[in-house]
Amino acid sequence: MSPGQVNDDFIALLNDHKGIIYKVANGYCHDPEDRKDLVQEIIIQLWGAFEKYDDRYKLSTWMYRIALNVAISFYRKGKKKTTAPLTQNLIELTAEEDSGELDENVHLLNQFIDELDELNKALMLLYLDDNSHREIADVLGISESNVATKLGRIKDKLKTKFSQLNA
Amino acid sequence: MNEQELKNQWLSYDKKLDQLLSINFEQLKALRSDKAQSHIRSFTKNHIAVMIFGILWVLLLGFLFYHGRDNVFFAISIGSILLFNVFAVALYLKHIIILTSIDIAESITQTQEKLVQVYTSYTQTGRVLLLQTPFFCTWWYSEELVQNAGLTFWTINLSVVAIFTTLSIYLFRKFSLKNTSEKWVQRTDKFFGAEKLKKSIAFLKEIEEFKKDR
Repeated sequence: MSPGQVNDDFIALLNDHKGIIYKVANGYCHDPEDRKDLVQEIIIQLWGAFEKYDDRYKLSTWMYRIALNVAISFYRKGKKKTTAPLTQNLIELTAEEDSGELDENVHLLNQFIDELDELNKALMLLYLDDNSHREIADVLGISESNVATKLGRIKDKLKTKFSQLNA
Repeated sequence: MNEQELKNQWLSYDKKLDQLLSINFEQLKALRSDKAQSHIRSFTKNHIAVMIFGILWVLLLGFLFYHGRDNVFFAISIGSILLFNVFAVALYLKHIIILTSIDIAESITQTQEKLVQVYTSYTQTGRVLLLQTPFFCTWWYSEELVQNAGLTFWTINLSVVAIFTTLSIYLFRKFSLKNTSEKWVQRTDKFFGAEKLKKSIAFLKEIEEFKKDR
């Protein structure tokens, strides 16, 4: 495959799965400037790893692995400068979304995810995106039964939170 | 609202996001042409640069040790500094091996464990290197000096050695992750990076807990 073909394929992949990058960056980084840097770092890592992509894995799962790994490392190291500071976002939202038209439940869910620690946050994002227990276990490097146990606990917390709000 | 309804809402949010998000292709092109490096890669490069410097430093120390071994004070001081630095270079080499073995597409717990291990060991290397400080005050002693120098000379010199020894041991212990509630100690810890180290170790424990099937 020629370098040009690799670039075209990568851009197509990015276009198809840009939501993953956005959701991960949003979940781990609140400051808009830092988030811009995080998105850049995720894309650099994805681009670098794309040629070695193992097609035994689902593309979205592979993207999640990289995006979550980068986001957790970024989150843990705190604010940092990227090697190529950006003036604009690589992935942008239209004004409509920025105006805050999110469904209230999704907004609450985002708040709930925000309160989780780094690893459980990854677990929840993967679960909500309809990944199977097997896929979640693979991305996180834990057993399937462990995924089920942890998800059960998180769901209980989530139920309590929503029932408190609806009471 | 039940679990499935919530999940469906999230999936429809996902679809909505896909329609509303756009990629800034101009920025993407700029990113590619800038040959921007990832943080892990630049961290590895820094490690390699420091290790090369460390090897040259060790070679110089070895040369000095070999040619000055007749003076027992010089030999002990430079020999000790040499050992500390060989230890640091070996650890840096270990870090580089771990860092180059990191595949960002590996599982999250595996990658994060490796990164935190390198960071923890990296800080510990600095901690151990602090202990070489007093030897920088003694390498120039000689038997002639020991026999002829007066009380004032030794009072001043040994005080300086004592201050550096105390300070290096103090800082070495500060990095030892002992918990203390005193505010001034917390501030010192923060200044010397021990706070970050504590967080890294806590995260390592968190990963171990997360991996436990219970």
